[in-house]
Amino acid sequence: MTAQHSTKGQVHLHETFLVLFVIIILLLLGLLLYSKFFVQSLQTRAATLSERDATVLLTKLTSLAELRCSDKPCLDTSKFLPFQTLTQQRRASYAPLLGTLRITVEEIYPEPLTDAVCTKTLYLQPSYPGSCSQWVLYNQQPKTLTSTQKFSTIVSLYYPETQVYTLGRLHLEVYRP
Amino acid sequence: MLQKRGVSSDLFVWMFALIAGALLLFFFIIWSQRHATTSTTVEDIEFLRSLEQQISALSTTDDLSKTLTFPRSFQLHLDCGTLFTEQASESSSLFLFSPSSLTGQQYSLIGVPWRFPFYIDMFYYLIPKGSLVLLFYEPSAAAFITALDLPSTMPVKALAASAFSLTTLRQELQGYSRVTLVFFGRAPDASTLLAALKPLPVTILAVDLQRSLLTFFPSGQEQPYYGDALLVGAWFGPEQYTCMSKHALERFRLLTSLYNQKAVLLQQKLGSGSSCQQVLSQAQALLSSFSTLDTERIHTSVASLQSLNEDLERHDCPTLY
Repeated sequence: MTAQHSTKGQVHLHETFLVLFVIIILLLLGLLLYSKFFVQSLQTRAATLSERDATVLLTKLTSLAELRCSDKPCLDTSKFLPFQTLTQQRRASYAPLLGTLRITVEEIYPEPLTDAVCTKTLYLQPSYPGSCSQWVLYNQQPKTLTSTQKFSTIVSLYYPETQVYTLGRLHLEVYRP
Repeated sequence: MLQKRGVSSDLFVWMFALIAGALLLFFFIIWSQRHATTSTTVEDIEFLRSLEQQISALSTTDDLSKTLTFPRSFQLHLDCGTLFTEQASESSSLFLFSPSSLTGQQYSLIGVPWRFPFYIDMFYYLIPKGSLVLLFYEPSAAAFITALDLPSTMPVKALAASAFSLTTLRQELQGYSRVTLVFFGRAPDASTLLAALKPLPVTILAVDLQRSLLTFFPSGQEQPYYGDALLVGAWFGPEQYTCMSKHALERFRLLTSLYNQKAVLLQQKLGSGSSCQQVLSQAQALLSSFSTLDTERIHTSVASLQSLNEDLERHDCPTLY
């Protein structure tokens, strides 16, 4: 009788432990799954926000005082090389606005004779604007790069030296660390 | 002995269940608190980012004004280029003039391009419904007031200083939640005026057009302004004016540096034989001086730069801006 009582108690105790253990494990599993989905939804929301940020930035770039024409909706090509120099000299001023990305402009119409990237030397050549057709305006890479997103828009390019308008494409390559 | 063992076993089970239950409950309370905080933070970040995007997007539309309604439970604060709520903060490069705390109500968002003398940036004004700016101008400032090109949606009324009457003013300001009185020329005694208009929420500013200087009352603090858009900023966001004007000046200096380099390149491109050389060279010398120029002399130099740019345009040369 005594031994039976003791065994019954022990079995009862073991059952309690087992039930509690199973409940805890189930709860933790539920929490883990929920957290995983929650983090996934956060990542999706973050990606959507970043994508929207990049689209807004692309639009902002076309109206940035450093690049745009004074009174017309176009980009002033004579500001491109100074902007390139300025962003390198004053990195701290532009990093919060632009972040880690690459901004390039290419002329698309009339079809350029060369695909050379514009430099000061090419700019000073008498054949300019025919001497080059691409500009790298800004390029700031993160220390670690996981992915890149590309955006682009058609822009009107203005050459004040010759007072000529052409058609170009503004490219934005956003680096994701 | 036997009975004691049985009792201690039951007691142990109860104690174990109690402790384990309490621990589990504690764990779930902490977890749900953290989860709630994270969710609120994420929502707040999303709201701040989308607000910034909405404001930026305004510059790309033809209509530079729209109405924004904030959620009722929301409290947004602005402090020198940072937008923040209780849970989240976002740094912003926007020039936004508004009250320092924004709550769940309707606001008019208006954008004005800042030119000094060239286009520098967009200035945005977030104006609560029920705001009014009254401009009192002396005859010497009449031409300036007439030339002010302000959007029609801006709650601004201009009156001649001779029309100033305390009794009429007190009646006229009833029902407004935020009022700014701007005096172009001599302002009446600010402390007497503020006391007479109590408890109306009134801010007083005086503008010295000759020296391009603003005086905030009752503090008496003097601040320079650069261009009309910045002057308007002081009417709608006096709390952020000092910080914003400092940032604006930095941005202006950055742009002068860019135009300086543009002038150098244009000179090299056009060659020494060009008739544009002399004007470009003068403009370049002027642009180089901006980095060291004190705030008082900036206005004179800006006027000279504008005239040089007009010269370039007249002579069919590539203009600076």
